[in-house]
Amino acid sequence: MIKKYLFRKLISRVNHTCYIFPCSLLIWFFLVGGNFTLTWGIDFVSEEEKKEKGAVCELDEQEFTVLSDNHAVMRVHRIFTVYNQNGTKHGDVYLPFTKFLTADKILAEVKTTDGKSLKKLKKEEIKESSLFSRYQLYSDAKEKHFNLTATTFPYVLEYSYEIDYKSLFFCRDWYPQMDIPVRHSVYVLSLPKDFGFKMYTRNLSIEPVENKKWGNRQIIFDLQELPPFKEEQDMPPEKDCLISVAFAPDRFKVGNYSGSTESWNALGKWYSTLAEKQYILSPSNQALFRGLVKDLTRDKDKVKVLYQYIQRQMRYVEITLGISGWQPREAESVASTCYGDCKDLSTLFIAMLRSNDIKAYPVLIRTQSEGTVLIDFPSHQFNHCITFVPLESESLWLDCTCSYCPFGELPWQDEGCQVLVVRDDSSIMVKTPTSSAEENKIHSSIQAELGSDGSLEIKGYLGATGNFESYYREFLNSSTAGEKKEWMGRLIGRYAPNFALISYDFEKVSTLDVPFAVGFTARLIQYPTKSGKDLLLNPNLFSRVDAEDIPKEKVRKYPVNNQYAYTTEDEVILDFPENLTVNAVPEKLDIKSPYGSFQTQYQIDANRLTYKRIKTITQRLIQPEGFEEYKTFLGKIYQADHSFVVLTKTE
Amino acid sequence: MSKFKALFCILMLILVSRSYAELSGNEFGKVSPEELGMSYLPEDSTADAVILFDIGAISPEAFAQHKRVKVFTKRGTSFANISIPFYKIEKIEDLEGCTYTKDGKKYCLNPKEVFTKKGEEGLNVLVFALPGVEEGCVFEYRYRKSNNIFLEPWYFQNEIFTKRSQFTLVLEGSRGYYYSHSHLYSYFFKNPRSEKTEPQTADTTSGKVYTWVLENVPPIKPEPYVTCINDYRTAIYFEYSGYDFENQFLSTHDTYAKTNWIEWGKSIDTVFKSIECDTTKIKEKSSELTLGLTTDSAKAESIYNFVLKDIHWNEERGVYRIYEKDFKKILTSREGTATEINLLLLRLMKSAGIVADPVLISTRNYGKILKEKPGRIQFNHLIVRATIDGRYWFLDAINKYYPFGMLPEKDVVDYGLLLKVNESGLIKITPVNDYSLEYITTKARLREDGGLACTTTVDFHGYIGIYAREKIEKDGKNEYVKQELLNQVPNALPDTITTSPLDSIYQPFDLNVSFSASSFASLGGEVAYVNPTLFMALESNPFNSESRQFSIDFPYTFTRIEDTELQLPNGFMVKELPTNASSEIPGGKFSRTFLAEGDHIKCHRQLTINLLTFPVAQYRMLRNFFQEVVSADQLVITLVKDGK
Repeated sequence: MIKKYLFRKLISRVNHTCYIFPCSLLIWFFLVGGNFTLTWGIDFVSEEEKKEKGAVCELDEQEFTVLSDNHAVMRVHRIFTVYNQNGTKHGDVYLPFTKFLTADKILAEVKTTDGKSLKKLKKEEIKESSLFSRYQLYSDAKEKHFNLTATTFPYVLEYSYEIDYKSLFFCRDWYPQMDIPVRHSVYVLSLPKDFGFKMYTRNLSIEPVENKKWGNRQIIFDLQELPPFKEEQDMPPEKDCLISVAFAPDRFKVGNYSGSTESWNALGKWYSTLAEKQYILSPSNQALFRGLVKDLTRDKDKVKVLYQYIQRQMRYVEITLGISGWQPREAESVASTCYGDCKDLSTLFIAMLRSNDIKAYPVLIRTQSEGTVLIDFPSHQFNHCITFVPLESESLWLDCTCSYCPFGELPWQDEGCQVLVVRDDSSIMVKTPTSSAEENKIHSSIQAELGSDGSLEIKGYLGATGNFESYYREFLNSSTAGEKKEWMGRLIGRYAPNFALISYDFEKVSTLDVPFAVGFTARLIQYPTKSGKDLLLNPNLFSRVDAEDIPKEKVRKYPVNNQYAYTTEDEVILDFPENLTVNAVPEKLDIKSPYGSFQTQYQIDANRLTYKRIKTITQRLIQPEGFEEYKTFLGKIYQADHSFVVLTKTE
Repeated sequence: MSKFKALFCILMLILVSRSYAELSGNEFGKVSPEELGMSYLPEDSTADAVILFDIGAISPEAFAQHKRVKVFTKRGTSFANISIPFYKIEKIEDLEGCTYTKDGKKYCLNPKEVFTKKGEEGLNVLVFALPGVEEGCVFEYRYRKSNNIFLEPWYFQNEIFTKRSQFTLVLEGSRGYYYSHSHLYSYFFKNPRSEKTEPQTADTTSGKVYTWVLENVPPIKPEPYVTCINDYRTAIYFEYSGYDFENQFLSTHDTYAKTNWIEWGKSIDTVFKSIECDTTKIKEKSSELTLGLTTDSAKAESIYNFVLKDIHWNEERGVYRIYEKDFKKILTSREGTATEINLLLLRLMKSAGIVADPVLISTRNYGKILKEKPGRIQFNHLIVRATIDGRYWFLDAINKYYPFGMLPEKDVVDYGLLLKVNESGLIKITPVNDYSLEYITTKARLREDGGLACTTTVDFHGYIGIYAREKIEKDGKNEYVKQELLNQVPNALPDTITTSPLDSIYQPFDLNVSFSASSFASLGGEVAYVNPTLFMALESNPFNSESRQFSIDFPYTFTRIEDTELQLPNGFMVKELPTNASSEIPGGKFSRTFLAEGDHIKCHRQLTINLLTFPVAQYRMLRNFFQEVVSADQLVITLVKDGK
């Protein structure tokens, strides 16, 4: 550590900022690669952890140097000690690049722990290929990839590279934590003297050190001995939990479009500029879209018809080329090809509404699974686009990529998010509505008859509203007929040794205008469990809390993320033969907790048992301090869901 | 005339020479009113789309395809996102695509909306989304691929119903004034579905044309417990198998064709033998590894263990991609493809005087070989057969947890191709140590508050043990215990976890856990129910579907045993023990028994599957067998308070 400190002191006198890092890198390679043994001091990583994790990051150095308003360079230098096969993945490095970012000056080497070189990365070993997510049909983003490992352990892996940013719009946040221990992590932000920017730290209490050098500012974050980031079951998005520092320049330029992050309004103006010319529709298409709603008088009804047209006619296809990752395609092009991504479909929808004199605005949103937006930090934090329609009597939020969302409802990913509504005059940050537990409901009603052979004939339906409805519709409408039947079988046969599916009805699955429900009749074979003369029958056929639903941790660091509040309501009316009597029923429950409630009821009338169960979870996030109580709550539900009604044969 | 134009002309010639009524509508852009008017598929009214025709033609250097699809539902529109893979050296040309809607509109593919995804190893993908696709429309596309380097298989059967699938192979020889030369190809069908597999043939000026046509081909849908779906998919595979050369000037006629396994084995063996290596280093290493060892089995094991531990597999099989320069330095680079690793094993063994030969196999996930169709392309992996003291040992040194003689389960196949000059041919693969056992013993104490305190030991043997080692190495023992062992025990928290060394592969592997589970049982009332099978109880039948198309493949045969000794809490006694249960079918056996001894209850549960594949005719039997297992697993012990 002392060596490095002196080293920094030395090189700080050498040259201009932008030459320091490569010089230091070269010197570092020379020093470390040749004649010096790596000594790291007392180990904060146990032998067991080294074995389990397979590697330790000894050094993670990143320097982001802003050279001008529209140009920056990021230099990265990392050193790992790899202890076994588990750690070799850290030599598998992918460097994305686009029209606006280029990855270059890639050096890598593996050495023994006493510094002897084993292998150096050759230029021809750096492969290039297209980069695209599974949601994208095509993207012009590419990646450079290399994989450098050794076969005898332990070894030292060291690499460095540079990313050239042709636009500061793309400067990335810093995430120093990894899934392995990190001994030393340094981030240096180098800026010209009067360069406007801002920073935001998360989950970090250490303050950076500021230097001034030859008219430039240097802000340095220096962290030591970071434990590995440990995931927990049902935790919030990683980006909300990791230590991070976000950066944003006050001004940026992407292609020919300049923008500012001085306020949300300024950022909104930038998007508005990108999109303003894209709402064009040909006269024939305008006429078409006016014609679709010509017989309607209420604006809300018109919006509904046009929204359902998008849902029905358009398909989601994402193609990203250059600026098109942020600039939507022309509405006319989307209309004629019948496909587009989220902003394309939103743009078309807005154009359709405008041709009917209905105002609507694009909304930039960061979906729930990507983490929460930093509301005090205007910057481009968004990954999705939806539409906001302010009518006289109400406001509508509509996601054009959700083919099966009921009109006026958002998918759960878009709920409760801080979003930027982009308006010509002023863009504002608002929060999208959150659905309640009552709105997101699964309900089932089953008529059952217990046969003398121990099989249970059932007939009933499963209905859903809110987020459950969108999920089921999306899933079932993307499935073949065979897959739908398989799904039904898994639902019905979930807790039965065997079953026969007699009939099923999916007619209401694709039609949005009717409430969602799937009907079925089936026979559950050998369903009640035998215990001597008794039959142990669990009337909860579908909706049990199982062992794997209860988070396993003893103590939580992060909240439990339920995604949304919800209710499940189940009713089973069971008729059983006259030669059976009810010997015991579980006690009726009515549990209330800060996180929800749970009720069960068992009613016996002659040879009929009526079972009702209502489970409500009212909180999306359960904070760590409430975890113990929440776990106890789930534990009680588990016990109730695995209880039996005891039926005994009468003589 | 370019080769492509010749190809298409020939194709058109064939099409035109047949009944036009039969083929009308195959011309690009000519979509019939009947095709547009279809509202559902009579053969399957739930179909989302149907392939109206899929026509392909191939010559050794070019490939052309024309495909037309009718869309019925919104889900069917997803079939209009097209991906065409091609190697760097190949070229996709003359691509056209159009969509025709029911109301008479036509949308054509804009060349600017066609993109190339670049892959790393020279395999790219051309992608495009056909425009204007909606329910009820018909879309089609066609293209040609020049510089075609492989004779790819043709799949007659697809994910959706195919009305007509037609494939043409164009073979052209080269002809000079005094000579003629043509390549010979063999082909084989997988799952011809009782259709005719002999092609229609036609002569051209310089060769021959073969055409296969299948109509009304149902879709193929994956099912769980199927190792290789292509075993059931109707397809035709081609392979270069020789040449025919005639020189009129010299009056010679030479035909060479590989027609049986011996010839194939010989020719491949020659190729492998020709791959040079550093023989000095091999000899030195072999001597070093066998120093002081006197028996062949000890020598073989020593060599095997060295290759297994010291040479790292780079996850590639590389059976037909061996680079001599890489193979030569494998002892220094310590890394290689599966073929390089096993070739090294072979050469080291031979150097030590052990009789060893290479064997080509088709791994289970690559598909079953057709014994009656000799050819190289059926194989994807190379292993080694060592002959030691008159016994055969099949060896694959790519995965460090497999001891000598134990093949990875993907290698456990019926036959392989022995490569041994004049003794080449199909041989039976007889692995040893392919049986797996997982044995869990638990001492548990049920507390008065309903909590459970347990000490559990798990003994692993065979493949189950290897999976456990791999999982623990990757995720750590804490995660393994949480996810794999305690996932069925509510509120379970491990206290201590120990394992035997992961890399002692010649010893059984065991895991010891002590844990507690709060609220395991509800003891508040007068009666309580407890299930002492904590880990292995099945909650639902793994064979959910009421019917099945394909046979059922298990990755390996196994026995799983769980023994629990449960101490009852004070104040409680057994009211009822579940009935002992047992069930047996050919290939499967199950039992679950209970015994009460004072305040201790012993439960024994055992499930054995000793057949790798169950034919589909036995599906119902297998499903009913598991029904019995699930029923038995759900039986619980009834406890009552003392005196009740």
